[in-house]
Amino acid sequence: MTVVVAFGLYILVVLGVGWLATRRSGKSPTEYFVAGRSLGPLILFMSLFGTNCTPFILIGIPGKAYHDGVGLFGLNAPLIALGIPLTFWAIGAPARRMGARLGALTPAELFAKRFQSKGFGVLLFAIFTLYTLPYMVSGVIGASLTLQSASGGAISGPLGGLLVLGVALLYTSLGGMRATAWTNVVQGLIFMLFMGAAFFFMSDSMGGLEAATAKVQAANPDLLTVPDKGLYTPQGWISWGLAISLCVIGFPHMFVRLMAAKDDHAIKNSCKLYPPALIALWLPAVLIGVWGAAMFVGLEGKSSDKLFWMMAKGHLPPWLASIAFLAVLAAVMSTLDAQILTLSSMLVRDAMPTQEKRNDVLVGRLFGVAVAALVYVLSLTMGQSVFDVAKLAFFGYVTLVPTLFLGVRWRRFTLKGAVASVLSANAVLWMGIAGWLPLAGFLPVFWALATGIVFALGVSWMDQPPQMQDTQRAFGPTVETVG
Amino acid sequence: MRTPKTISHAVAWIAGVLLLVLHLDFWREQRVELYWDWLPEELMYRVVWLLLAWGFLLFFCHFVWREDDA
Repeated sequence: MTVVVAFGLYILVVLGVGWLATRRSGKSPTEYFVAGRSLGPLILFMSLFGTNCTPFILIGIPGKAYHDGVGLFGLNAPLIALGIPLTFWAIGAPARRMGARLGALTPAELFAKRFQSKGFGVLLFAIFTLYTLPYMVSGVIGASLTLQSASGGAISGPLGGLLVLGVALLYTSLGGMRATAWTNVVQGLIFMLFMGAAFFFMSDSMGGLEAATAKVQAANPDLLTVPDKGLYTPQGWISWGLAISLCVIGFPHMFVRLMAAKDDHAIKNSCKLYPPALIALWLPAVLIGVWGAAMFVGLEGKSSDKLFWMMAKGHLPPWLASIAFLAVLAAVMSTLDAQILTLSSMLVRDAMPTQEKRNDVLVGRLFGVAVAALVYVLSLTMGQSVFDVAKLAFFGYVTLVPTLFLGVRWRRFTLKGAVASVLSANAVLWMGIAGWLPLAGFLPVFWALATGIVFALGVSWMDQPPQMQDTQRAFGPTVETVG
Repeated sequence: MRTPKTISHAVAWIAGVLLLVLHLDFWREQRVELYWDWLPEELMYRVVWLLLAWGFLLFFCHFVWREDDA
């Protein structure tokens, strides 16, 4: 009963915030798809961070730290905290400026206009969709299982998935980007507050921080140092670090939020908040997993993903444990709404023929319904295998980074260079994943990125330089240098 | 007063490379030492690194990141 009431309240709050956002929204496509390019620093940061927070942090990290120990923190958090802000500077800020100059409302449209090629926009749209759909489906499956389990079966899996998608679709359709950004503030706060409370109550329940660590020392002291195999070898560490720090700017739903920023100042101030926020999020998540290893010995492989729930049940006050699912739902929905909006906007702006008189907002809303319906059907039919696809697809976003960077920073970068970069990097990635290439200990994404860079530079140099009036239209009249 | 652009860029490059070297710390010996009786040395090292990276980022945003709204 508590679960149903808490879920009902949560829905009311996010719909209320979404409705408030619609009152501030105009009716133009620019308003609907990129909030009139008006997101200020705080809302921008919370919407970026909320979109970035996935259930993986709450469930996946403790589960992985259970096996890997504290090394997991160093493998991920430092490079995310520094890499994401630097990519926002290197790619996000110039993309925002270029988007405003060209009147582009989606990432694919930005590059289609930059290269004056609708076909390239379609290619980018196809690749973004290929990697984003499994990610969305895995989120809906995770949310529906969470709701089913938390409610003791009162909310069935298919009904839970329908509710989560339906609510996200409703406020997204009503208020577009502004509604998703505002609701992400609420969802991000729920997530962060829950993580803080869980860390406090769990350590307290184990007798305090010292006692919790002492239990780990007694049970498995190796968890307090870094392992020396897998991703913790030099090659694994380097290639994983590259992937984890570069993939976020390749998420279309993150990229478009940067295009919605009010100005560079808003992006810059958002970047300043990333490192402390990452410490506040990752440190508790990793420590909960390590402490859990001392409390629940013997979880094998993927079964450690249940650790968070076991810790919640065993070490949180009942009232907090019973609403733990809200943190998971907040994380799922804050990403899902952004993905629905971005895919539907790309369908309208990039996949459809250009039409002056079309009502893009109305078509965008209809496509939003279509995207949500497709995700729902796939969530019912694809099963657990989608999680493996989604995990690999994460690397796919990295294959686009050379094009995203050079496209907004290098006037000499050509359409042929961009096409060659995107196709070659994806080919190498999937051949590497299939085991057809020697990898010398590195992850396939490392070689895919290197290939993408070489093809982007090489083919552009061999190609005719772009016309000056075309580059001036995209970059502005003066040479824009890095800095 | 703003630092001249070339100096701030040089400082940013040096600090960035230094942070990278400190992150790729395969030379560092693993120790099972605890700070304040609960924080493992490995986590302490990474948190300090993150605080340094935060300082770097604040410097970078202030002195290197040029807001260009052309």
